[in-house]
Amino acid sequence: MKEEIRKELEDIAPRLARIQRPDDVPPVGETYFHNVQVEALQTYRERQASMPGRTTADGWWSFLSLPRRPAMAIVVASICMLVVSVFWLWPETPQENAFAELKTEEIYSYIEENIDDFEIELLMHSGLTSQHTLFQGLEQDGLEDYILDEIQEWDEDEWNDIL
Amino acid sequence: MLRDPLRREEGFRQMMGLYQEKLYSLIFRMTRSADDTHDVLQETLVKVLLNADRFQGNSSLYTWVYRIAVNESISFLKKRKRRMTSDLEPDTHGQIEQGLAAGISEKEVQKVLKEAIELLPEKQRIVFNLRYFEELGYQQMSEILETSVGSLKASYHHAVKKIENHLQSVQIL
Repeated sequence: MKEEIRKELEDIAPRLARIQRPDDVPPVGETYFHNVQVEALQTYRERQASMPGRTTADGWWSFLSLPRRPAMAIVVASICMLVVSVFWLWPETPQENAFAELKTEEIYSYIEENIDDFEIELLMHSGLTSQHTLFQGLEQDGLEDYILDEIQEWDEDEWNDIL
Repeated sequence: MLRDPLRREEGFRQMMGLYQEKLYSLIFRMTRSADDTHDVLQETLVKVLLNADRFQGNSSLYTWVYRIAVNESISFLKKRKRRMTSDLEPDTHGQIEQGLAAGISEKEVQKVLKEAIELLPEKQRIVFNLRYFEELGYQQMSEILETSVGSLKASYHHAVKKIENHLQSVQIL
């Protein structure tokens, strides 16, 4: 036993230090380790050969052969059907179709030219929810001035409508 | 050589020449069964071959292979523990208590010692085996078990104390 380990043992456990260290490992046959080597190398080669994706061709083959398994085929088919259903059945509003081919700038230009034709609620909704609002680019002070000017131009009927 | 896929098997044979007996002893002291030792040793060697290209050389080959052997042994012991029911666990305490008195032979003393080691908790037993039987330094044990040196010293101290108390309780020496 190494001196350092023996000294440490004597300090902690003098009884144990006095006991002869047991040789408790049973002996093995002469050819044991040779056989272990052969067996380990054989298992290693087998496992290496069976590892998935060893070559590109193997990888593609396993990918293509996936749907041949019944359970996988059902899963793949279900996912495809779900994707197609969502794509075709997604609800589209008429407004979206009408404006589908217009650029954003064209839409806002149209709205500004025909602003009197739009309901005030629709404009308010657009201003609150859209990132590209009619008021985009205006500073806070400019916006307040604009609103005050608009309010001053309202006639009695418009006030009655609002109130 | 072990890292080179073309020379791996040659490197493996050289490594076996150096460490095969030490690995066998290490694993046997953890599993306490020749059959189990064979299985764990096989799995250890296959893992060494499969992961040889991951060996960075930061630690010595000996430390790296020992780490794989210890990890394989620990995971084997966990599986075996799950399989075993409590009534199959060794009841060594009773055996030790019987017939131990003054004047017992060295062989019997060693038998008691082996039984006392088996009573240690798993981690303490591993640390004790690596230090007492394999004579590893704390730094090397730290690399193998990925535990701090301080923690290993404490584990070894506790393990040795438990064995000492056991020897005292059965009036050995």
